[in-house]
Amino acid sequence: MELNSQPLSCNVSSEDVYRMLDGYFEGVEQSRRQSLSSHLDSCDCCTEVLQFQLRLRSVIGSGCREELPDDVRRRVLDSLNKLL
Amino acid sequence: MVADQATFVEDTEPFMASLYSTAVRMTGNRTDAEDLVQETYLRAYRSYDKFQAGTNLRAWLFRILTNAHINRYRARQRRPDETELDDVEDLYLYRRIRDEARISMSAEDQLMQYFSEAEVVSAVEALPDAYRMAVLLADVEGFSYKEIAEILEIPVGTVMSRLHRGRKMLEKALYEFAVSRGIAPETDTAEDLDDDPGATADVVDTAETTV
Repeated sequence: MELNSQPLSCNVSSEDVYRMLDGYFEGVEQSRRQSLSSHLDSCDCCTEVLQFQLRLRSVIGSGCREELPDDVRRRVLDSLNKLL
Repeated sequence: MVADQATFVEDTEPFMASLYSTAVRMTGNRTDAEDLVQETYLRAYRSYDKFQAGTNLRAWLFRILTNAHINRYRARQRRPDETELDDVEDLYLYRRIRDEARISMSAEDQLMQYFSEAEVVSAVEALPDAYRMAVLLADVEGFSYKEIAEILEIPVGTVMSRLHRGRKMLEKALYEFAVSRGIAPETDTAEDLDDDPGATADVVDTAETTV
């Protein structure tokens, strides 16, 4: 990932913030992963930014969710039933 | 073991709501979304005998959905202009809002003072297709990088970079809503918005030993 920006004030990179946020640590050494996670436990800066990103994600998630209308569900199932 | 067509409806119906929701955000309207879901279910039914039972059915259905979408709207696909994002910092919205005294970072519902739910939707729908799909799959549907890589048939590294750019673009658009309603100041890009350098230097040493 090409990141262009400063790390947080605690010096954690934004790439690591995204990794923590998304729980993706492939290619990251186990020892580094452990130290990141113990750093997170005691870092107010990381905690704040992660909380913020999670809150933003939940705002995006609830804003984007669209109810499936009953008539749409029925039409899709009807068209399948014609094939069965 | 391959899946049994006889149980197709029973197996796949639980995923229709989230497929439809994603389809609405991908196409931008309910009519096209319904067509897309129809097509997804018909295609999925026809190839259900190729689905390996016990593997990720939800991801498999989303793969059919996104493929169908890409095929339908290929003409409309534009390659996102990557350079326009180069001046935008990572964690853009966080950095901007944190420097504002107006809202508390800890208050759960205060984020919505900056922009409405409708603005969130329009910002998501304004993202270029490639970024929008990554953001919808990760941030709305909660798929992992690996699952998204399978759904979109792209490498994990590409998932990360699309997601990263999509989020950044989205955060910038959301901040602009706040600026346009006069509750956040206009700012020049590429400014250092992080903590003052003195504070940063103080904690670097401890951070390096703990991280």
